[in-house]
Amino acid sequence: MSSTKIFLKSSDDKTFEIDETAARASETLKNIIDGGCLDGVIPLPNVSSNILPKVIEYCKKHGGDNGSSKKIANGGVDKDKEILPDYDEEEDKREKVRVDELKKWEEEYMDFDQQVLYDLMLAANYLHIKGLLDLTVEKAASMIRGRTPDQIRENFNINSDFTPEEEEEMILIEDEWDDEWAFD
Amino acid sequence: MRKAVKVEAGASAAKISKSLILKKNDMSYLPQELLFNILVRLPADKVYEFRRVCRSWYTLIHDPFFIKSHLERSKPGFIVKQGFVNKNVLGSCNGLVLLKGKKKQSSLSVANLITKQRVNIPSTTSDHHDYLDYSYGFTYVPEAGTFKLVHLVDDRWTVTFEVLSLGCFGGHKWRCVNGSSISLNSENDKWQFRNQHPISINGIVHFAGVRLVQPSSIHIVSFDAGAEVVQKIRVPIHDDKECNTFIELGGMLSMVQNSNTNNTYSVWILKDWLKGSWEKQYMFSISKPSIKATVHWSDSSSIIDVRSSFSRKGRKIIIFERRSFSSTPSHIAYDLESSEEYELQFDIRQHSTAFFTHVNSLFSPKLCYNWVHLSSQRLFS
Repeated sequence: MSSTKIFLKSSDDKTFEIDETAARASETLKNIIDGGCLDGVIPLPNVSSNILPKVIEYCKKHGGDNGSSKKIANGGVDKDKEILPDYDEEEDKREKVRVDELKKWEEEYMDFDQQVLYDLMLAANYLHIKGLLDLTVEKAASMIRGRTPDQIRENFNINSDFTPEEEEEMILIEDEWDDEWAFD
Repeated sequence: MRKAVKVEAGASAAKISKSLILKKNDMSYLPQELLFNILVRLPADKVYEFRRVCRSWYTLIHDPFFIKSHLERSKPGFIVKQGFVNKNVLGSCNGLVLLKGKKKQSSLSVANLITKQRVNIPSTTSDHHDYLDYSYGFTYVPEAGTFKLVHLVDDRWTVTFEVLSLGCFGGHKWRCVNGSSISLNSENDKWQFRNQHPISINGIVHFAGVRLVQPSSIHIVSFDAGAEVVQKIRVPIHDDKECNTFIELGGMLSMVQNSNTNNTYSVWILKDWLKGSWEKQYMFSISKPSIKATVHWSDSSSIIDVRSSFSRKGRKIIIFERRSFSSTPSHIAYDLESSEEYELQFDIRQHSTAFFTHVNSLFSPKLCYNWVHLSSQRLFS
C-alpha cells in the first residue's frame, strides 16, 4: 500500500509533510483523513513549529500501530502479511529485539527539557495520540513524584492561593489521632 | 487548494483555544484532564500531599471521580497483624480501614491511613460483643456510593443484621435491618461465627459460620448491604479433616479447600450468589519448604495457611503463610492463572493473626460518594 502524503500546518504557519500511515497514529488526524480532506493542508492552531516535527517523529515510528508494539513502520508495513498466531521462536526473538529497540528509541526521544515536555503533552492530548500522551504524562508524573508541594509551586510557577488559615487547617487533621487509635 | 477542516474528535475547539491563550510556559495552566492524568499515576500519599499546591489541585484531588479513578489504578498491599501487636484492624475496604480501640474493646472507628481522617463509630444497639472481631463487616456499595458497616448479631437462635452508612446526613447511627433475621438453629444446633474475618465483595458481606454440633458443617451467611437482604449458602463440601478458608477471587467469593494430609488445594468459586452454586475451578499444590540440615522438625510440622488474596489485571493471586516452630514465617504468592509461585519478602517475624489486602486511597470516611456520576461529567465538560 503506497502512502499518501499529508500536509500539516503549525500555529506559526509552517507546513510539514507526513505519510498518511504515520498520521493515522493520531486519532484526530485519522478522523480528518477519513472525513475526506486529504487534498488539503490540515491546520493545527495548537501546535507550534518547534513541537510539530517532534510529534511527526513519534508518528513515523508508530504509524499503523494501534496501541500494540507489534508493527513498527520500517520501510512500510506489509499489511497483507498476517502474523501467525502459532508460537514461533524466531518471531518471538524478533519481537523482543523490536521491543528493546523501541524502548531505546523512546528513551532517546524523551530526552528534552520541561518546556518541550509540556508542549508535547498538550499536542499529544490535542491530536489524541494515545501512546505519546502516555509517555509524556508518565514522564511528568515521575518528574513531580519526588518533590514537595513547595518545590512544585516554585518549579511550575504556581501561586499558592490558600489563606494562612486554610494552610494550617490542612496540617491539623493528624491531631485527631490520640493513643486510643495510634498504631504501635 | 485549502479546505477549512473542522476538528470533530476530542475536546471542543473552544476549550482548546482557551488553554492555548492561557498557556504561559508553566504548569499552572495545564488543562484539567492532563493534570488529572498525571496525578492519578502517583501513589496516594504523594497525591494527598500535593493538595497543598493550590486550590485547583486541591479540588481535583478531592473530586470523587478522581478518587475512584485513582483507586482503580492503585496497586494492592497488605495490612498484617503480627502476634498480638497492632490488633486493632478489623477490615479494609477501598483504602479505608475499620479499627478497634485499644483500651475500650468495643469502640470502633473508620479511618483513612493516608489522609489521617477518622470517624468514631457509635456502639451497636445490641449487647452481643462476644465475637466482636469477626462479627463486623466493612464494605462499599458501588451503586449507592456508600461505605457501610455490617454487624452480625448472633443470639444463638437467629442471626440478625445491623447496618451503619458512613457520611450520612444526621450522623452515624446503627440501624436494625427489618426482615434480615435468619434462622440457623434447629433443635440443638449451635453455630459460631468466629473462624475468620468476614469477606466483603461489591457490597455483599460474607460471614462463615461453623456448626458446632456433630456432624459439623459450614454455612455462609451473606448480607447484601445494598439491597439489605440476607442469604444462607451451603458450602460445596465439608470434611472435618479439611481446612476451608474463604477469600475473594476476581470479585467472587471463593473457598480454598485444603486436605491436611497433603499440600493440595482446591479452589471453589461461588458462581451464583442467589442460587448458591459453587464450581471447582482450580487445583494445585504448594511446594514444600526447602529442607535445611539444621531443621529439627520434619516437613510435616510446617503449616501452610491461606492468608489473603488479590486480583489485578486479570491475575488472581492467593497469599499463603508457611510457618513452623523453628523459623520465622515465610510468605508465598500463588498465581492461579499461570500456576507460578513467588516467595514474598515481608519483614514479618511472628506468624500473622490477621491479614488484609489493602489499597491506599483518597476516600474520606466522612463522606458518601453517591454523586460520583455527576462529578465525572462536571470535571470534563
